[in-house]
Amino acid sequence: MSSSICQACASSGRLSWAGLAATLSADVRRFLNKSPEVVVPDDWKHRLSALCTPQMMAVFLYRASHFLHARRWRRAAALLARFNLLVHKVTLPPESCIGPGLLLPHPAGVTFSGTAGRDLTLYSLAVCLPLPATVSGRRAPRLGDRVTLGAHAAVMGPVSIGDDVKIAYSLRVARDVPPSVMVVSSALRVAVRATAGPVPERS
Amino acid sequence: MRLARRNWRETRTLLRADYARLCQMLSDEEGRKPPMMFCHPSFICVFLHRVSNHFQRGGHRFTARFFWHLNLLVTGADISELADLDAGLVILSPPGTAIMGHAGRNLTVMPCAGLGGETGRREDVGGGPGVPFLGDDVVLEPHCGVLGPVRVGSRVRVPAGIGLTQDVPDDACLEGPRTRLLPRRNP
Repeated sequence: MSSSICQACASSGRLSWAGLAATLSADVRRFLNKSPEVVVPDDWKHRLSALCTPQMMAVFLYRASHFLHARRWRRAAALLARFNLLVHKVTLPPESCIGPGLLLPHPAGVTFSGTAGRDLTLYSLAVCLPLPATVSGRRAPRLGDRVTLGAHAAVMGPVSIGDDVKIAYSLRVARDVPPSVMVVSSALRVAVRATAGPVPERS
Repeated sequence: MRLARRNWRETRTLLRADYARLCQMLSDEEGRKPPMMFCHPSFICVFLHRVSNHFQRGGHRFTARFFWHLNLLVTGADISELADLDAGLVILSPPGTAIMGHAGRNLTVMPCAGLGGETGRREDVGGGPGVPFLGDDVVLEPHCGVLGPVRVGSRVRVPAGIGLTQDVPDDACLEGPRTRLLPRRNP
């Protein structure tokens, strides 16, 4: 689509109404099947009830705002994104481009500015933003497919995160990460206690 | 701590400086700023704090508390009406931000960062009893906290995920926890 300002969405056909519906359908399917232990029937009742949860409403408002932004309705897109922030306290600017299958288990406080592939998972208070803080193209983080940002994790700057990467709890990542790795902190050490028994109270 | 009274002209001057810095930070390479910047959540958050702080300085504590509460409801930022923050304040993502104490010019607060007390220490290092005092051009990265009566010098960048409880001199370079990469067996 020549009038689009999001090349990734235009090339994958997500800028048509059918593409938007397919993207939302993938989001709902991922939300319903997030736990492998719980099998949820894929019927219209469960899909509708999923759409009424705050997690899916935040994703829905983001999808709508990005759809409008990519079709050059920038003011309406900004208004919708700010309504999303007001209601759900989630900062997802319409300029951010996220592939189908976005999962926000705890939306409040999540911040994402950048681009990401399919099946992105953002846990509570996960942060992804460029340095300096703009969302313009090459300075924003670029995430691959099936990336998971743990709670309180922060991805900052013009970095590139590969496919199938998992970033653990409360980590700051400001460098490129290759595919299929898990990023963990080297700060935590587990020491063996000298004496057995209950853990003493802190004074 | 009693803050000096401030007239509307001074409050407007501070707001203009805040707005100009926010526009500068959010503009792209060609200098274009995002649409509707006057209702950008970062600006709304700073605007409500400046109004709240103005009333607090004028002795209208109830009105100041009302605007603090409105800020908390609308943007999700908890910026105390007693906080003394100089011009050029930018709060990039208001939800989850908590600020108390004093900060100099051009403070940048990234998502979920904060300044605060509640550490049990009640000394006053210039920002009020038990709260920190920051110099100019300080950057608070995501999820960091400056806690207790500590003095942080100018041009300091507090790394993400750090709880800072000690004094830091001017132009200091702080390092956060390092990361390791582990291969995933079942991605």
